[in-house]
Amino acid sequence: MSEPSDQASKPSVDITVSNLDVPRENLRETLIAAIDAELERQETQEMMPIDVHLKGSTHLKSS
Amino acid sequence: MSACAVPVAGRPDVPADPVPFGLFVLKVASRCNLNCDYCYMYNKADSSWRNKPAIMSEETFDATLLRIRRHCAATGQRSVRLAFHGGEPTMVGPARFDAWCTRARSMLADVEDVGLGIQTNGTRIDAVWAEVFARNDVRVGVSVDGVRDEHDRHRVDHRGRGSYDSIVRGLGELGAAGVTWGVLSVIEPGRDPLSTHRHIAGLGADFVNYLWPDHTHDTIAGVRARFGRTPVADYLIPLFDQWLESGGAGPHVPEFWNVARLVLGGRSAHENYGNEPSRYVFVETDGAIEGLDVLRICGEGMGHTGLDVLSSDFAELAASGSLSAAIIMRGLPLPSGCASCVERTTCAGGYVPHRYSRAHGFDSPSVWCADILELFAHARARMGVTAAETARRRDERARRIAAVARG
Repeated sequence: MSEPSDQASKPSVDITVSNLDVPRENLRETLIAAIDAELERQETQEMMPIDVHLKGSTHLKSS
Repeated sequence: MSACAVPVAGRPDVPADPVPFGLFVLKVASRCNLNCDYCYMYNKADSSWRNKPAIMSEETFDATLLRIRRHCAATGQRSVRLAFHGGEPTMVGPARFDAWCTRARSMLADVEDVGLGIQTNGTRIDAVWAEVFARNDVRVGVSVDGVRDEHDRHRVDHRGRGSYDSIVRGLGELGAAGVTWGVLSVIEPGRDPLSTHRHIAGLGADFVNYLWPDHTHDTIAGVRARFGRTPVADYLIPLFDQWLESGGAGPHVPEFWNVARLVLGGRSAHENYGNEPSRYVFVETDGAIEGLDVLRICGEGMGHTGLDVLSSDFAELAASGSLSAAIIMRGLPLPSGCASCVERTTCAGGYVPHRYSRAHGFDSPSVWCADILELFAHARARMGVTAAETARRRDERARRIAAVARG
């Protein structure tokens, strides 16, 4: 479902890492920390953003 | 807004207050210009599309918007998403689509955050469509399976001709117009996943949703015989490693973000896992309110609710007694075979349509159970989080949420 695109909206935390000098271990830990931080923020939110994978026309042929 | 705090008298399973639906999927077209061999809409177990209008009427579209507006007002929700879907939704034509987007934003003006999206096969996108998407701030999902040969193996028109070239032309138009777009890509076991991912990333996708092939326990045997015990995990694990080790660089991959969320003790944000109430509904071209459309792989009419936007509010779904109401409002019971599984609180049985068999209904683990266990075991090992640690984090979060709720 998503959303059609929303289902796929980018996370609110910018996790794009372009600095190739950053050690791989740090990249992984940065990503995990970003996901953990998102969970912390959502704890107090009323609705969970369900990410629907709308199978689209693809898999969906049609739909 | 207190969702489901007080049950209806005599029906403890039915909430007294309407609950928010985050997404309304509008099936504005019930036909498609492609004829993909794996399509759950036209080439599986359901043929109800034959009796639907090819295009949603203006009257039905407006009735849908009115019902959505009433529902948002009743729940007090400040955010809602509308997804134009099909069939192939671009069959409605750019002028009508443009007008419908304008009407949607106008009629839902009281809702603070209204998101519009479309899921399309991409073959009909040209400069006109791209401009309409950009002007109406429509997020676009396009179906791309991989490089030309991979894509054209399945995604063909009604004369058997591949669709890759026309799609790539359309993606160019989206890029030129500044439209945000992403890809749905159906996993094909046995293919080189990294090559496919690099190709999709190179096209400029903002996100990639990898879709698990749709099978039930009645149809999976041939896949296993040909590709082995865990063909989807075999496909996804190299991608997961690439994603994790690069810090999530490249297109956003919701599947992996969600797996990581679950391993870290969060709730699922994707219907593949977690057995959460889905809280979104479909409206067919004739106005019928339906549940998950992929239930079509299980049999005829599985998603029917008996309701339609011309005569019913969305809030009536809760008391409809339909399978869809259960999936949307509560989530199904955990399959009995999952009770002692180490991933029973993360996977929780998997994607509902994939649990189905004629013999046992939905009371079986996903047909992709072995793949899911393999993927989660791998993710845990790479992230350094055991199942016990997930449970500890989950319990801790639940306590904090309860404390917040108590004020």
